[in-house]
Amino acid sequence: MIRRLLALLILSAATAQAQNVFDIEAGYRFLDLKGNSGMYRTQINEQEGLLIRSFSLSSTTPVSDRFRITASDFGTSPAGALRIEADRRGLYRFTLGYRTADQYSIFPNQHFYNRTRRTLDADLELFPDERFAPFVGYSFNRFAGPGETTYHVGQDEFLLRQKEKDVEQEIRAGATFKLTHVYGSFTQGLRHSSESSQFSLVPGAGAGNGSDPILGQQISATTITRHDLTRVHTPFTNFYITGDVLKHLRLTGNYVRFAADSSGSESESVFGNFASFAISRFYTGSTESATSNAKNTTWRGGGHAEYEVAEGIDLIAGFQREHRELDGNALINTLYLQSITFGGVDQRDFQTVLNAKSSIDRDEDIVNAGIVGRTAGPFSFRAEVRQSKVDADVAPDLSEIVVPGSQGGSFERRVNTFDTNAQFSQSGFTLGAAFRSDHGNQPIFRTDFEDRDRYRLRAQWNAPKWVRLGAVAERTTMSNNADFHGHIAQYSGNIEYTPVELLSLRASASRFEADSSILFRHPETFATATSVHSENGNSREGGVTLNLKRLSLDAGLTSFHNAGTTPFKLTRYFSRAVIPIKGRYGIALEYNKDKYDENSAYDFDATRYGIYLRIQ
Amino acid sequence: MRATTIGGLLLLLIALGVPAFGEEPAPVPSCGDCHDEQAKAFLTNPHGHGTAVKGVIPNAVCERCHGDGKGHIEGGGDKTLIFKPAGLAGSNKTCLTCHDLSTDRVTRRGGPHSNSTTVNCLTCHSIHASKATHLLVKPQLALCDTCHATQVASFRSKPYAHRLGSGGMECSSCHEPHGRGGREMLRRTAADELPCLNCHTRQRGPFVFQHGSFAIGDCMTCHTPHGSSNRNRLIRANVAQLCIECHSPIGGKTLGSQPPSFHNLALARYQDCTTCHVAVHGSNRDPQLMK
Repeated sequence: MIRRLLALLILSAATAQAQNVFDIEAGYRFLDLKGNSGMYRTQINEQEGLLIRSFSLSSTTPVSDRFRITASDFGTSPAGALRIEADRRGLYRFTLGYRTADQYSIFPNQHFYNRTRRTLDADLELFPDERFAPFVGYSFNRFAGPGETTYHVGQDEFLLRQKEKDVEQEIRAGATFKLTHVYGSFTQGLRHSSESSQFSLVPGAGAGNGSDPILGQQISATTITRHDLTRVHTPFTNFYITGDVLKHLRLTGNYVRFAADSSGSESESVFGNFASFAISRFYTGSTESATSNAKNTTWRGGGHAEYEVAEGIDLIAGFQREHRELDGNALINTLYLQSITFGGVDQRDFQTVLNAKSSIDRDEDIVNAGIVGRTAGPFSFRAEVRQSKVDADVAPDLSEIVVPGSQGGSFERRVNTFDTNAQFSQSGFTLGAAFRSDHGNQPIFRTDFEDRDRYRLRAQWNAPKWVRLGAVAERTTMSNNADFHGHIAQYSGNIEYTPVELLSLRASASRFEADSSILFRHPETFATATSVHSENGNSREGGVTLNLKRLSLDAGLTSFHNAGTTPFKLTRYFSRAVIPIKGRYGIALEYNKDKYDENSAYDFDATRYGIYLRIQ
Repeated sequence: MRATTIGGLLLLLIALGVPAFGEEPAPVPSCGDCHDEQAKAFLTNPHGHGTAVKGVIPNAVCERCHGDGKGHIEGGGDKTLIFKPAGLAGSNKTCLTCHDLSTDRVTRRGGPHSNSTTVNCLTCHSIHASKATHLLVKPQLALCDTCHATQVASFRSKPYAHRLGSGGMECSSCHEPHGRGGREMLRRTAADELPCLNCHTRQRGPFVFQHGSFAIGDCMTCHTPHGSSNRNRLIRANVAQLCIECHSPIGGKTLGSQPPSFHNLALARYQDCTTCHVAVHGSNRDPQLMK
């Protein structure tokens, strides 16, 4: 794949015309990894091998007066991107974006996946900037690869191998239109997705996680297989219209609706020795089949008004209503093989049929009004009040109720918000302050705030030519009457010093704090206790950039030390040197070191070296 | 006859003011004669492509933003005789004459990034040439870092973070820089869903048994989208802690059921709820989200 892509890009560059702007950087990266490779791949995942670091080509072709290809990090990088843009003025505009992302995780415990996501988005607009411009688009998203997961069956958990393949495709078409004082856009689309998962027992994992017998019987599995397949169809409609109604008044209306309809089929076979408290029996195996159907119908509509009361001062107001209906049903047929009661009698196959249903309705109204002052000399400001009102009805499925309560009902939550900020900016000096206060009448979830305040201060000074100083402080506090208290604070300061044009030095320091506490109830004792979470991190960054005629160098260091609930220390070094050789040719050398230390088996120390050929 | 015809044509040419043979028309200076770098970049620039005549960007293209350049040219490049868009006034007088767009999600007037002395079009965009997408003055992560340093620091220095600046993912993959404020600063899918679902399609559902935290709340009920110190970018370090905080109905009416008493949190087996409740986002088969 990488070799073919590299050849294709070099071929496009070779055919490039003289006036074209073209550059490529490609080469090989080495990896020296010590420690936990799973954690390294979960956090970083840069691998050894061929890599196209970057590519760009700007050109013209017989059918386009602007043609641009850009690509980055294709090959052994966990995330690569390719973008193609082609335009012909007044006739068409085409964009194609292709992205690939390797996703690797060893969390939570016993779970693992190593999957790749590939996405493609292509959009073609005809007669752009004309009064009527139709467009079509297509998107593709594929997520596939192996993994492992745990699975609870027969009163124990077993480790299963999982093979997943999700494919989603979307087509959309519509048009933008412009009349003298009115413009807007209409989109109609259809999305189809197919999600397939196949599971099988990992060899040697038949004993399960639990070692204790259940009512004297050891639980074990000899075979577990499952296959899930779900298909979802989602037609959607999206529309907005904007009109300059009066000289200074602009109104915008919008409506969007989608109806997602899923149908699922699932089959499962397990063999071994199992127990079920639901049927109060032991059994030697089961076969299960399920069909399901679920719907999500959502629409949102609203309007916005912007009125310019004086030059640079606008009054804004808006209203949005969103309605969401979720409902589903599943028919689950389970046949327990050779089941006997816990007392050891009445051996027979035992069948259960479960017809489960669920529904959730959610409405949200958001109304806002505010004033924006953009040109009050060196000052600018913005103040807005907003109210969000959520009404939710949750119908609990009867089969779900183990401990009654809190699994359904009607909920209403109203949040009033006051949001304001102001800035002063003159002679390279900027000072900004923002404050937001939210007040909720009651929580829906226990950790929903009733009072939340956010503060933000920012100062920046761009001294002529040689220095830039910046500082940001942010703090959020929240609480509710369920004894929930939380605060998040972030502080950051940075300096960039450029004593001469060739040399730039930078340094920054950040501090991050997150604390929360809330009462909870121990399920095993019903006693209450306090759940406390804490993050307390300090980060330091520093770097230097040097641009000489025969050499450019960029190097830096980042360290983050967290002293909270999960203490760890993370240190990252990087350096990159670019050395011109002759004419358009040069070499880039890279060195990266990532060290993660939480004083456990998850620690790693990874060093990467890269050597790349550059053609510009 | 022939002499009469030729004579008539000559007279006609003179009458139409066409220069006689042997006289070259005075060449009109091109902006690119002096500003060659800008002119070259404009050949493939979104503002200039397709306008070139014989490989030269006509002066009229430059004059759309810089105004009439005649005085400037005749004055030998006198900088006082040409309009140079800069800052708030420059943005208002040039960019917004074409880009003053308001949609349901985007506004150039009422949003936190609407043109002001602190932040305006020319703060973030480089009009003549840029190596970054969307004519940004520098790559997005570095650009957003100018004002949003704490957020960018969390991507750079925390162990679990989306890979910004690599693989096409940028701040604007999720955020709408020209948004109206509040939640409208988030981009949406074509069907108006949260931007998370652009990639994480499997979590979209719909499921027969939806986890209430997503159906009533959203992804941020449990996850923090920027860099995180916690695995899977959860808002708590431990999974059981995250779950039990909602699944502890103590006074008041909240959504989230109490786990049955055999869930002994003192045992390692019950400290990671997703070992059994694997379908934590939603399930089509199991109300307890176990398959």
